[in-house]
Amino acid sequence: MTDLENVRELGIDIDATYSWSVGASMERFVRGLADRRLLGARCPKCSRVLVPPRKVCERCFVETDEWVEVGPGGTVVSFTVGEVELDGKAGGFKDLDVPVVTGLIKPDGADTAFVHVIGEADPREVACSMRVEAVWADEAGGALSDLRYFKPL
Amino acid sequence: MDRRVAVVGYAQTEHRPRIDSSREMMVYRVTRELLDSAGVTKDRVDTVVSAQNDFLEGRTISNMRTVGPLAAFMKEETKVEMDGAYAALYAYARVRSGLHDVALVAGESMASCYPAYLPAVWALDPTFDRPNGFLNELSAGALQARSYMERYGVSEEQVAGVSVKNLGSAAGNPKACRSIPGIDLAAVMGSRALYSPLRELNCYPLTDGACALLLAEEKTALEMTDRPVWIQGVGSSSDTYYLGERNLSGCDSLAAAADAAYRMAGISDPRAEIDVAEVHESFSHEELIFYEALGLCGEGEGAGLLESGATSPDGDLPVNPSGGALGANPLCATGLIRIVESAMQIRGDAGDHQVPGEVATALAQGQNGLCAQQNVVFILRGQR
Repeated sequence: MTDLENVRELGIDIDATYSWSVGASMERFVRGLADRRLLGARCPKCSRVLVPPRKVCERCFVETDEWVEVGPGGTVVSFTVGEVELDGKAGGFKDLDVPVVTGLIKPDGADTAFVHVIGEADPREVACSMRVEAVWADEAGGALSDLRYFKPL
Repeated sequence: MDRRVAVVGYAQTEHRPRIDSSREMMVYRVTRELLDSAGVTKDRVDTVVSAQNDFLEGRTISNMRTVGPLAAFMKEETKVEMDGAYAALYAYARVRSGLHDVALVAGESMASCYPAYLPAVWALDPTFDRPNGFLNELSAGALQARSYMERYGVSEEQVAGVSVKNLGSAAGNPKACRSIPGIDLAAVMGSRALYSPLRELNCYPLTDGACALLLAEEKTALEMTDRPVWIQGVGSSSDTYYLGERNLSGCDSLAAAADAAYRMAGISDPRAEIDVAEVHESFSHEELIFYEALGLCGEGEGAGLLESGATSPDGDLPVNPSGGALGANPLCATGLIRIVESAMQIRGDAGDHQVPGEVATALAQGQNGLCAQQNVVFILRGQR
């Protein structure tokens, strides 16, 4: 039987698996996480320590040449309490039972911040300038998830 | 050689949560309306630059299928995968250089046909931000909002004032996708909490829509219309992708773009010299940040400028009398709409949302990327 209601519109999935080279810097960064170390790259020109590490400093346009261990402590630069998450459908959100706090966190010794989750925290008490510390996975899996989240100090 | 370039025509679809049409017909209709309203045949168009995005369209080289609808058959034609103001920038350069006399610009997308907010997730760094899964367009906007509010001591209520102004103004714009006549602060503060401090009415509405613009060099422009709107200045700048490396409490790339556009247009005091501005605020707090980056007020004074009423439709520097991007945000068209709305204000064509008083000089902004990473500014002037 033909469903004439559905003639007007086609739903099409695009399913494509990509294979990215993560690059030497990120590869070393992830290997560092397995050793419970946060690694940054220092620019030889402006001396900024970039975390996650980048092979090229955008401002100076030169290659970074020195590895620096940063953290595990850090400071919350900005944060948001997510009451929802994207549901992956057209513009929809799912309410979260437990809000998720996402922060821009600047590890001690780094000149940049990165986005990660703030756990073990009462969302009402998270604030900018709050001190936090990295929490590691019990067993290293050689993945970004070896760094589980940051918790308030 | 100094070739002046003018806006000689424009058209917009009605921007809606869902336009019940194929994408090709939406593009055809806006292009047809542009040419008809400008009184120009498609043979007069030398080059076509569109803004559209493969991810939003769900197909590679998405402009393969819009050659026809854009009146580009057997013409020089290209596209940018960015905001439509960039398409206008490149079209302007093509005309200004002398390579072409007449350029057609268009931007479009249909939020109703792709999983909304996911395109920005797929724009994230695939080696860190994306696999971590903590960041999306809204949570990024929230981090930006918090950075700004924290640095300058701005309250959620003050930020909500932008939504009150713009969604109220959108009621005068029949093309707007979302308008709330008589909206008050309580409505914004009571809207659904998404990512603090962002609520639903702080965020742009998912929108289907298209916009088109016709540019011509001076002699041709004066043949085509007795009401040309001159492009007096342009500027553009891109900041780093990395949010944690940017000044999120400001917008450095917008400040750089504005500086370049002001220099070109000979503007030294934007607050005094600009009569209307149309800015591309994806979120309410961005409008306050943009006031400051555009030099319309000092750092941290955005909320004060809003509260003074200066940027209200009846103020001395109305910003977004159309309702802005909070009123309608068809991705890839939004910045182009800002240019068109600015030209409408200069021509006195804005109908119920026309601002009182003469508009001699207008500013239009387009932006792209998480937290307004990339910015373009146009300065437009009426005939003199």
